[in-house]
Amino acid sequence: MVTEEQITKATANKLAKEEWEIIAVHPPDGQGPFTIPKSPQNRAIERASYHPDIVAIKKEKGNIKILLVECKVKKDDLREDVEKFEELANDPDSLYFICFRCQKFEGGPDLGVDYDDLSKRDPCDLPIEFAFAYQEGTGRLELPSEINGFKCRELNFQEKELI
Amino acid sequence: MNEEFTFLPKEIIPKKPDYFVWYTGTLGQAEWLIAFSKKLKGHSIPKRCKGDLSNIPEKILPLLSLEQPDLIVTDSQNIPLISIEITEQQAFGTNAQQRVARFWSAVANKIPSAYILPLESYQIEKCSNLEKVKRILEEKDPDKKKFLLFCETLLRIDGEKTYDNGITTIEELKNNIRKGDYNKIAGITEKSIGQLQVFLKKFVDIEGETVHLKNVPFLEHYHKVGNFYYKVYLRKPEVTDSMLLEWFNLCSRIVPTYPFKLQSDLRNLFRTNGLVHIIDDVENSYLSYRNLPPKPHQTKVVHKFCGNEKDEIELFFNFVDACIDREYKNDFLRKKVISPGEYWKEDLKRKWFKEIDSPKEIDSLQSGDFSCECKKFIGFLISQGIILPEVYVESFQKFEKAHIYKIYNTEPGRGLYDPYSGNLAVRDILFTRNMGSSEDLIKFNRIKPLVFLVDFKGESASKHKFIYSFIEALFQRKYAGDKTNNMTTQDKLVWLLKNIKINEFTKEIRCHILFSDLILVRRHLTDKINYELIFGVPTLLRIGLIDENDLAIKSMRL
Repeated sequence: MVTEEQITKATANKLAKEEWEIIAVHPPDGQGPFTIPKSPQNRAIERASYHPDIVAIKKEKGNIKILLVECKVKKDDLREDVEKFEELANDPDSLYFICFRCQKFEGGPDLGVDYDDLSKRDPCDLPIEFAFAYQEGTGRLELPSEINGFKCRELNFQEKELI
Repeated sequence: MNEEFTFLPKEIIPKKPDYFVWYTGTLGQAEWLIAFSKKLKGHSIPKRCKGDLSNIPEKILPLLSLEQPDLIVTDSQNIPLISIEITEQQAFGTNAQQRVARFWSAVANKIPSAYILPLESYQIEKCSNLEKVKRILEEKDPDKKKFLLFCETLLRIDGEKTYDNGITTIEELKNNIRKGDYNKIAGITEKSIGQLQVFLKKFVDIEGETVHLKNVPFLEHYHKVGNFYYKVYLRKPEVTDSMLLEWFNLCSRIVPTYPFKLQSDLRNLFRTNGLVHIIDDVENSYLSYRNLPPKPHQTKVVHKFCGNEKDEIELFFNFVDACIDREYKNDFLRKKVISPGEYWKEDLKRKWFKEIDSPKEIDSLQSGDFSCECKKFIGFLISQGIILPEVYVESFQKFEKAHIYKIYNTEPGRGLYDPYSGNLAVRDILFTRNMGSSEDLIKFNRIKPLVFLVDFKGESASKHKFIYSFIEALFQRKYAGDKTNNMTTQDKLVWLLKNIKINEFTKEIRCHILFSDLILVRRHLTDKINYELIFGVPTLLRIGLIDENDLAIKSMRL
């Protein structure tokens, strides 16, 4: 039986091959170091912060993109993750915080965004993308191709790619 | 043999394992342990502990009976060799000690344990002093702004006043601190200049045989993110952490019980609060992308005393392998890490509890630790109209002092499980025993009784279920007889301790009844205070109402 961790690992591997730099991974039932605080009005609902399963960054044609991924074995189980990204995409403070965490600074990582520049932009123009990962043939849930103007993609895997 | 899923490559999965790595955390942690232990790699397999512990062999169940550590290594006969906990969160405030009950069971059974945790860390938090932060960030003079930001990264310095006092550059300030000249440094006194000097030496200049975490660069200290201001700062061990380290220090007299430092790196300051992980491990691809701790040699050597050239993770794996060989002579530099000096100062002990003359002083703080004369405390309870059976009074009056750990709660939905189970396990060792190398923790030989005092206010005063309701509900579930009319809640607790295993107690009360000589709940209702009083395991053992052969007590022993 395929586990969510296999999906997470396969997704990170695939992204690395596409030259994404993996910043952080939050394994199922584990601890995740990349936390994004929720706005106070959203906090009463559940956890006080978002913990994406994978956070990755990539430089492409001179532009830097940040990708947040949620992983599930079954496509149909991604419904709550879609809602999570919808909430996130409509929360400017959280969107800025994602860029803040991925910033370039003296002594920091080679790849990072210019946060001072991004903080002046409209939140809808921040270089953030979302993705959903799952095992192929595990549901009919319609996944969005964009959320609040942010691009979304699907990453699916055949069983033989996972075992 | 290996029926469970694993990412380990076939070539290191033994057909007949010599060891098992039982895990309650993640499979990744178990495989990380196997990958870098010379003793475990190729000779062991991971085994998942089910949440209800139903698949746990009796031989290791006592180590999981209070709380569950992340990993337990056993031999092929399920004889435990070492218990391990891994956390990325730095011990902080009252939460600093919440995981300690996981180690208590190992110490009680003389099984070594290791705790991998960040003893120092970087934190990113919302600012509360907005006016001051805005003033500094909007300062027009760039040199003054740098100076003010630098001051903000140091302890208690009022940068603006110091600047007005005539110290206007970072170098000038550093020189004054080094010289011990605190006159123009606002916020610093004769008493605190020493602490500032130590901070500068350890965290700014990084001098000495221990490489402490580098202070956050002052330009990164404050940031505006969206509508909020954040501060990025270095957190070093303080009062509650010093208690934690002393706990390890005392327990190591019985059996090696060692913390290992998860070292952060400024390079990852914003991405992961500085935490270092294995991201992509080319040699061990099965460990990639699982948020695992660093591997040996990945982080810098931080303890250079005694000529050491090994990083903390390498030392940890050396310790694990030594425990598998049942070889406990080498302390792997831990004694210096846990003893007062390097990470905490002896004088912090003064802040661990407040010595009080009158029990009424307990109400001077909402929560905290107190020590007072036992007779006076019992007298105080009686003066409040609480009726105490003579046998219990006598069992307390033989002690000179009592240690009182007071907490308060206003939210009935918030249980008293975390962090108090661990906090009580800390107090059990630090304040109530004469810890020698032959101490048998399960005998609860007290030199000072421990009182857990819970103040319920607001909605909790009428609604919180701790502690009578929990005992009554558990008794209802477990007691099959019909003669309960004359049984008090205390009697029911005694029955439970005699007839069910300790892990069958709900976690909401398990550690509380185990470590506390007395649990005193005060319900502050509008017009009166209602009391709930329960005598815990140490008292019940002392007066002979339960003994070591009773199931709850017996179930804690291997």
